[in-house]
Amino acid sequence: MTNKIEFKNYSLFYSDAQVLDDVSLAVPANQVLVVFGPAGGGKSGLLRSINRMAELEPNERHTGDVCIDGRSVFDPQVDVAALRRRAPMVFTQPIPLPMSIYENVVYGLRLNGVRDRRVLDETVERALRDATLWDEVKDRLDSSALALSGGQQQRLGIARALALDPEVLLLDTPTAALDPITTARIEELVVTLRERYTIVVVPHSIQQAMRIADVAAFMLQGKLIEFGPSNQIFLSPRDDRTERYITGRFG
Amino acid sequence: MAYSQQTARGDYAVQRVAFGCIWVAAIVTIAVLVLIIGVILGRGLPSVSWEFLVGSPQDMGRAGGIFSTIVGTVVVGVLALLIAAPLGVGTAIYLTEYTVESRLTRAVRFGTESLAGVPSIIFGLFGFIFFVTYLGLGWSVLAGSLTLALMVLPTIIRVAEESIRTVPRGYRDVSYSLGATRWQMVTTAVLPSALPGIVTGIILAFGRAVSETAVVIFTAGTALNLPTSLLAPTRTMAVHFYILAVEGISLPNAYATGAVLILTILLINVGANALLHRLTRQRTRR
Repeated sequence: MTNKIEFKNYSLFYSDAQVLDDVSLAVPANQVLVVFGPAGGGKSGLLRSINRMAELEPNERHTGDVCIDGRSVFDPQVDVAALRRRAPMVFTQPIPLPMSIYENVVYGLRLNGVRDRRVLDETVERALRDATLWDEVKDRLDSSALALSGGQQQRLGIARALALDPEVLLLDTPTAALDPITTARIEELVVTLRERYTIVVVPHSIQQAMRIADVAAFMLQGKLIEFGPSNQIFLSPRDDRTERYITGRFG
Repeated sequence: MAYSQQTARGDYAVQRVAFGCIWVAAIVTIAVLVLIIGVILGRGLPSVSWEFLVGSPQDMGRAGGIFSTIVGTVVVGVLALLIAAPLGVGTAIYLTEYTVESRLTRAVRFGTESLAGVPSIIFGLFGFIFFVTYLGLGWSVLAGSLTLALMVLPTIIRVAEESIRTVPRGYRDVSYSLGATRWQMVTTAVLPSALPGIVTGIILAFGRAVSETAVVIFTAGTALNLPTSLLAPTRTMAVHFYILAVEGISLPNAYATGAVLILTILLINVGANALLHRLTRQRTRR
């Protein structure tokens, strides 16, 4: 099996602070990679390195390499905007842009110059159905996205990413600001979407990590402590620190 | 028991006094505003008639209307904004989105703030020396507009920068994460949200520009005829008001001019707000 995403001895710095320290891991296509660990461990930095969002931080530096489909994302010939369309990101806080639901979903397509009304209409329906939001909003696509509930806004964020027909989906604690029922829906969604996309998730709890992961990576202070199939990581972790964190005895 | 169950009565007294002070401050502010507008409109409106609005000034403004000064005001004000708004908003975008804090941005910011503190008469003198004589524009609409543009530039930069900074960082992240270039991010995610604030700044600047006298006298002149080109001299309503009052030509006409000036500014305010409202409403539709 070929690896969809691969980190090769990758280190990341924001100004003088080291965010990631010599991380190497590989994720096969159509798997859910869960990146977990305590705050400040470099989880977001890892996600943001895949689509080069990390570069937006002041004084970002990196060494090593990150590859998608075996090709470095830092290759000078790589178009960053196109890379982000292939690997869009959903953030912790639902962030609806102040425009209609419809315009939110087609936002990425419009950036890419898509004008054909039929394509846009079809994409909106497909993306909203995939994000399990279609039935709730199909009669008010023209109303403001700001009027949606938090859970709906977050699914709108996912729909916005799915509209790009991406290959990789990056979800940075997408359920941290949501209630348990909406959280369950989004978890189900992640498991379903895996059939079509490779998904990297920062979970907001160990339980969530266990429920959705195919492979898991435990990050601690920028270092990748342990990486492997979810069963092995969560049931028989090799590293003492992983075990203590999973069982809640981390101190 | 360490804490009293009851809030000390003194705390409520402090709250009442503080609230009273704030209330008085707000009322005084509104009262002053109403008083000023009331006095000017009360003294000026009786002399305002259709003939006054569309007639040409006669006998130095003692008789006739103020049509040429209305045209002069609008042309000078609008032209000043056409020059200053793109420059100002461009600078604000550069400062907020295209650079990180550095010596250069601090220098630009310090420069604009210093510029904001310069008295308008200095701008007038500069405009006279540079645009009117050195560049040979003479007393003209163009020289007046250019000088006013310089004068209101800091206001526009400041307000635009503030409103761009209040756009949530998340909008930028979302935009980038869906494949926006920096320019697309600025134009599709930042500027639409910052637009109301930017327009407010431009309206403020317009108000300052059209109510200015010193700068305009030095650079656009005081000619009472209708300006026929950008290089023709003109007289704005504010200058007309000043000259009528100071030279004792006609106080009733001075107040009438003042009333028209206030109404013009109000009209532009309301118009811009209505336009803005329509723009923001449209954006939530497809």
